[in-house]
Amino acid sequence: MSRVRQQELHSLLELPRPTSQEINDDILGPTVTIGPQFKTAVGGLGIIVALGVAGFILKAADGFDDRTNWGYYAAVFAFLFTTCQGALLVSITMRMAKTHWRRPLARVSELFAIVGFFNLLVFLPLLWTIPIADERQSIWFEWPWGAPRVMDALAMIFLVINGLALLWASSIPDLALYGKRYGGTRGAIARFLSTGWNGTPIQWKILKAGQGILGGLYWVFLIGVHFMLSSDFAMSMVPGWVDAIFPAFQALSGLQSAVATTMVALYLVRRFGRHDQYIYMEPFWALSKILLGLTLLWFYFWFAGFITFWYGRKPIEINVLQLLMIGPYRVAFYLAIFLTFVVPFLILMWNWVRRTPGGPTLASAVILVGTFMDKIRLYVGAYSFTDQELTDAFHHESAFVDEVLPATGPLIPSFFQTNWPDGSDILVIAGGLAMPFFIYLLATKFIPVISIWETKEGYLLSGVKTVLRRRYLVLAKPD
Amino acid sequence: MTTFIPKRSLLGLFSTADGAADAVEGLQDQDFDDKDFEIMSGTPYPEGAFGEKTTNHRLYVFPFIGAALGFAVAILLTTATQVSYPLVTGGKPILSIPPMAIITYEGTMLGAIIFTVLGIIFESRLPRPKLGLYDERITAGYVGILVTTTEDRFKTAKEILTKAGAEDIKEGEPD
Amino acid sequence: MQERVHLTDKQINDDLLIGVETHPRWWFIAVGFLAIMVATAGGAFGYMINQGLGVTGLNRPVMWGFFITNFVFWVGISHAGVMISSILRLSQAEWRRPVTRAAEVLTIVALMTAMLFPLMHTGRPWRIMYWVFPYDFARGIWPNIRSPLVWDPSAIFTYLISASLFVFVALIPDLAVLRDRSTGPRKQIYGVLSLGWRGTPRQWRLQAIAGILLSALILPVFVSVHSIVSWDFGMTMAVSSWHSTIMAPYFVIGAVHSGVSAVVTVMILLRWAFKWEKYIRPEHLDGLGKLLVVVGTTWFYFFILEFLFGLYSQEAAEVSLRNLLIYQWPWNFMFFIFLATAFFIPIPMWLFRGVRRSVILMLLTSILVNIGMWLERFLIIVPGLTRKADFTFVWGTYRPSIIEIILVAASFAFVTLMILLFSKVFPLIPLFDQKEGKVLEATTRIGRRDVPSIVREE
Repeated sequence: MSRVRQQELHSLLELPRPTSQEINDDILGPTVTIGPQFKTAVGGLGIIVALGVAGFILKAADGFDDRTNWGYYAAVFAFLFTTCQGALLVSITMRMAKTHWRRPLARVSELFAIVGFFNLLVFLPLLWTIPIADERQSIWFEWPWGAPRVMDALAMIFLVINGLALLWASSIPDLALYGKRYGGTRGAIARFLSTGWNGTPIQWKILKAGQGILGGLYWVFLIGVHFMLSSDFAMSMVPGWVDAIFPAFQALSGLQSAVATTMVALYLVRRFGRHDQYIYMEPFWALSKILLGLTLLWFYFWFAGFITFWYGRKPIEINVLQLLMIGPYRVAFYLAIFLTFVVPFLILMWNWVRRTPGGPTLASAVILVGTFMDKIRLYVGAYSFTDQELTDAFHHESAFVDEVLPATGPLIPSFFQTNWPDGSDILVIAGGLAMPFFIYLLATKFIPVISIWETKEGYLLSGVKTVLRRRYLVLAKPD
Repeated sequence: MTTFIPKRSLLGLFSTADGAADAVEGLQDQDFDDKDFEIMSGTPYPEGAFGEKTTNHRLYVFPFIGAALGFAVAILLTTATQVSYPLVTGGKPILSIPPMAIITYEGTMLGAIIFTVLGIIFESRLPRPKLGLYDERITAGYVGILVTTTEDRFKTAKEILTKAGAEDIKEGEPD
Repeated sequence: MQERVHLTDKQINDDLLIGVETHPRWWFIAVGFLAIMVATAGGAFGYMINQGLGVTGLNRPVMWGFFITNFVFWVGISHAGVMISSILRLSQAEWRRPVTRAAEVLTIVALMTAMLFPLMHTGRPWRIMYWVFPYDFARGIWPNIRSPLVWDPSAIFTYLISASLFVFVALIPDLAVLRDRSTGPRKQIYGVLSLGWRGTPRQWRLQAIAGILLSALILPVFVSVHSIVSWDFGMTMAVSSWHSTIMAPYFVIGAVHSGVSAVVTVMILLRWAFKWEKYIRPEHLDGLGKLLVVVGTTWFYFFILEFLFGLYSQEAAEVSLRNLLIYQWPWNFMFFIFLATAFFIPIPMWLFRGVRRSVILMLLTSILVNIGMWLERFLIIVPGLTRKADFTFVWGTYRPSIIEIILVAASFAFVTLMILLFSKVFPLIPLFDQKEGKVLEATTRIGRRDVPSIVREE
């Protein structure tokens, strides 16, 4: 079939209908070939990631006792977790909702499971930066067995395994195809992973049920890990901060940035991956509407937390507002509000912008920057207290909890001083942000970045029907 | 202004949407302008199903106007009330933005919604005091084609409607 | 799986206008009975006006009781309509078609009912005139303009006006059907109300855009309404357990949970009353059931956050409230019933397709949810007040009086009565939406199987 740029083509209605063979060729072709562009990109990213690892080693050499040194590291981890490990939810949810437009983006979002595995490696050292739950306020109360470290590590490991299992389950049919067509090491790996799949009806049935179960579990685990991270690594690290909405707010922020991540990845795959004839406009259009809703909800959740503190005006509430919003991290906070809410809202509110691939992608990129700023103000802020201050608060002897303290002026308490990134922080930030691109690019050469079987199913279940005088897209709903 | 040419209307009733679509096609073939005929149905067919030209509308302007008005009124109201009773409560400033924000938000949305509804009615060209040439069977599943044209083309129009299988044709004056 | 029922336009008109055009005896009996209940409540209210609020069970420190609970409950129910129609319209869910209007009408009626209760709670409602006009100015009493209680009327009026306009816009094409089918003065009235609708493609197109645009505009209002109701509680510091940041989304999602359940109840009752088996089918209950599983689980997550972070704070009032709820009779019994009926019985049941498609089980479970959600509001308000301070000069508690019970019971009668009256004048299932659904039906043949399909407009 002729290769046409589908810039203006909106849905399956206008797209040419390729044969099964053409779909295989079109999608598997770019997967096995490695061009010079790819090599340059991977090489460059690899160097930045290596610098990031060096930054980590510098930090580790200083030890884990000084928590302020790890604030930016924690923020980078939280950002990667929120964006990349959340991204899977897009395909999970849209598959559950049986939308047809999810097909081009299903694998794009699921491939982030591999990034999730590497993010687990980023996470594990962080466990040593938080104190155990004794003698401080914690959601684990009097829990034995080294809470919260063991629990958080286990939850994160389960989540990563769950994500990888889901990616595997949804790519078995494509891996089987890959393994049949190509030899070499990558072909052998694909054959091994596809476990002799040959697509009998019962296999399809089990595969789909498996995807449903793994998807449901992923939701539960992800919300659970968001809960643990935001309470163990942020809220309980600030003496006296009680904010019931905070875990939910972080989970919601996770959904927003998950959609944003998927959108950016989808755009890049479409632009550079030579897959533009399978990634038509409708996914951008549909995702951008969801993104608009989530962006509004982001503000709503933030405001619900803010107004309660603003009205309550207890000393601790004023201090928390000072620490995270108007005090040392106000720059990051204002950027977060502008970039996760104001700017994307102003972009996404226009119908015609949402109908282009560039508009929603721009909004998504802005949201990702904003989310990173949000993580900085929260995690760097939370990492500015010592263990002693947490214990004091537990015994009701903390000035932070009981008095309104100045965030500016000559007598600023230590935790109200801005912790700017130093050299190793900058290395960690650069390496951390390059890591997902690096891993993702490598992953696309092992697993087709467009789900072949879902694309074929999409063509099977859609057709064109003429109602009176005009042609319309018809979508079948088999169950 | 062009000179006044008397026009007459006729309404063809079709029991099937296919027949109505044939009639639209016939009218378009005979160079009837889209302004000369109207389709009336009791069922929302997908846009463009009869082969008619799609219409433009300016509905999206209305919510913006309404929102701006609502916003202005709400800001005035909240500011005026707070300034009129200058009593400090709970250490909050006299002119506090967070509580204003909520009422302003409601005002903005209310303005936007009221204007949208007005816009829908206006852009649908309603209210229409007189129904004009109309048939009650339209809401029971018939599709009506109302042609308004000059005397000389009246016959052509009637032929097209008859040929397309109109079950009943009513004649009348345009309103 | 969608079941396909083939109907002509004429038959859809006949079936769905049955409430307007026929006059069955059960309708008059039901309306009469409900009217008597409402009149009884009117009497009780008169007695309360005459005697003062002393006839209620309100007592220090519990100054908010059944009336406020019932207010929050009905505002919650009112979230059904917009939730159903907006979200399902925006997501182009086909199964929304028979559900929307009844849900929207429930919204309006529930909201009107809700608004009555704060008025009753004031004890001397006519004095509202003094509060609206500058009574305080004249007597040197200064109101708190920044009080969250001021937000409530602004949000509720906005919501009520928006929802009413929303219903009206979607009603116009159906009013035209009624105009064409009626005679005499009724024809005149329907003629005026239908604004001269003729069903041109332009009008239909605007009707479609209206549905989506208004949905998108009302959704943010809908979220704000119950948030603001929750901030009546959440902003205060006087009652420790109310002062929680989670209150707003917790109330909103709880409202959706109870509201959608109430829609299920209403749909099933309508199906029986008007013999709408062909329109309200198990697939619609199935869709609502799946939605409820998601909504109910999210609500439960927020409940856990609220409960857990109350304990996490380790403030004396918060801990003693949880102690009251878990260990002390009769609160622990109510707490148990609340959790069982709002979550642990219905949600696991709805996981099964057989339950979601069973009319009788859906009716029972949806009623259970609303028992639970009523109790939830009660358990937020009253125990919170009884344990609001570490030390208090009276350790009073709350026991509702017969007057309050009558008024609350009558609010259910009032809502039912209003819906029945509405059904006498307007169709409760949108006719044109059904007809549109029929036009958009298609089948795709895949291999040896005919798969039900749907024509998609842009």
